[in-house]
Amino acid sequence: MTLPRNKSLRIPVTTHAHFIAKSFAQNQPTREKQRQIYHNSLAVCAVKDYLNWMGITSRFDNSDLANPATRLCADVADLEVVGIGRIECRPVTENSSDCILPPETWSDRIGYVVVHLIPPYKEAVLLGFSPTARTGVLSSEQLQSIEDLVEYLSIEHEKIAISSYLSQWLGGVVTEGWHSLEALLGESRLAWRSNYISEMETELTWGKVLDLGIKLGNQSLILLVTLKPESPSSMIIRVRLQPNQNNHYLPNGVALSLISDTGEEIQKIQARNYDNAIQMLPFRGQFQEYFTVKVTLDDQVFQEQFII
Amino acid sequence: MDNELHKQIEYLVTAACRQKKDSPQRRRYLTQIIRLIQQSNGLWKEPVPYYEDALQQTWLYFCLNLCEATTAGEAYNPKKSQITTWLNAYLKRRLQDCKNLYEGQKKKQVFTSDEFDPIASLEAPPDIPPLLQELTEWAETDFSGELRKIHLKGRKDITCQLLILRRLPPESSWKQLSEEFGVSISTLSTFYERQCRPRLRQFTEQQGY
Repeated sequence: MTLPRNKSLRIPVTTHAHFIAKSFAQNQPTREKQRQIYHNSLAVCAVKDYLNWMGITSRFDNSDLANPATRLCADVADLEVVGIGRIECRPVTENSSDCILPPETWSDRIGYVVVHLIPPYKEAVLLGFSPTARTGVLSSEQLQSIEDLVEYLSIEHEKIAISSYLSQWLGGVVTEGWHSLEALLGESRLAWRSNYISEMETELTWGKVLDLGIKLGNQSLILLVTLKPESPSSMIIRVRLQPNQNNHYLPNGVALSLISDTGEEIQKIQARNYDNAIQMLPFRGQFQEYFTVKVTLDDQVFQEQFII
Repeated sequence: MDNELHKQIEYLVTAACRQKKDSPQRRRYLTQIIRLIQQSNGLWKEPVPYYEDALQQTWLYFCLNLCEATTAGEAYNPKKSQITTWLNAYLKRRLQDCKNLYEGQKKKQVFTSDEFDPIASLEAPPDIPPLLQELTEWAETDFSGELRKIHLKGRKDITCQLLILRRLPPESSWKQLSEEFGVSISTLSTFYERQCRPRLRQFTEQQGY
């Protein structure tokens, strides 16, 4: 049996949604700005209603749209999916045209939903969703179906549940599977393996043994994460990949990459013949930011998400 | 309803209810069923200003009671009725409730006709909204000197103060600012997001907005 191919969904716009839109659109400097806020509010309400049908809790009382200053200064339509992150609900008035994402919505979002609105705004059509802002423009062909959104949110939720909280590591609560350097490498090997690490006494390093399956035979790899607290809300992070005690070299072609919270690859380093370690450039992380570290060898992939 | 569509819906209902409540698979099926019912045009329609409120409640009722009775006395039973018959019965009851509520509040109601553009009927914008004036004064005065001090790395001329003021309506576009300062839009907007936005929010909180 064929399943429906159309990816959109119609959401009735309630009088409550109009009430919110009206109150947010008050006290704006121009008609144009009023229209923008009215549309943004209806888009957010429509997505919120849909998530409510699906049993997914969301709120916008603490959003940039609900804050009078950020709503005045920015073109925002953000909705917090509780426990997961903010999604941006972008209104469009033509259902086939591209949806332009304002630069103020490019960061700190876990996804984008495009919502079609036409006066008199009796219904809002959720046209589809994208997990990233791409180049700042979403064409209708690039959108995934709206049911992909709920699946994506469920997966994100699980990911967060298994994420490693680096701020907690500094307090001594380390995620399962991660060990201190001493425990991992053994006292004797520690000196020469880790001399690169102890540049500063304020730095702390943990490691995890990765098993990339049969590709490596009995060889395993060690992923090392070094944290250097910088301020109460930021830290410098270094990530290094090296073979375990029994081997001197990394397998040729193994790659280490850093993925941002929007899914963008920020760094990638690949081992060549006879590399005995590869290391990312140090990067800064701010409190509550996400990133993913990925290790790949041919079709074997290991990845882990971290939250600052 | 067309027979093929009806069969498709019944198939998806069975599939949805085999999945665990709140599972991604159940949610996917629920969405597909709603879409098919919308396409079938099998739901009761009425040109009343509170129709959307009643319909909104109906979809929620559908999701909560299709497989298990969550808010209804019993869950949907495909042997008893077609899905649209089940939903229409609920929808008509909600329309009656909304009608009573609406009649009671009629004088306050805003929406009357389909030709209505609710935005056109908003109060005309004030010359300068009070908050805009307050924000301008706050950023220009910069009492603690903080807004002037915080700047884009390597660019002492691009401060928090400058960006806040330039992005207050009538704002300069990001493109315009990017060309003027020779810095990419994403660098500027990320700096704005990280440094200016929290301070704008802080200002409104302190002012009791």
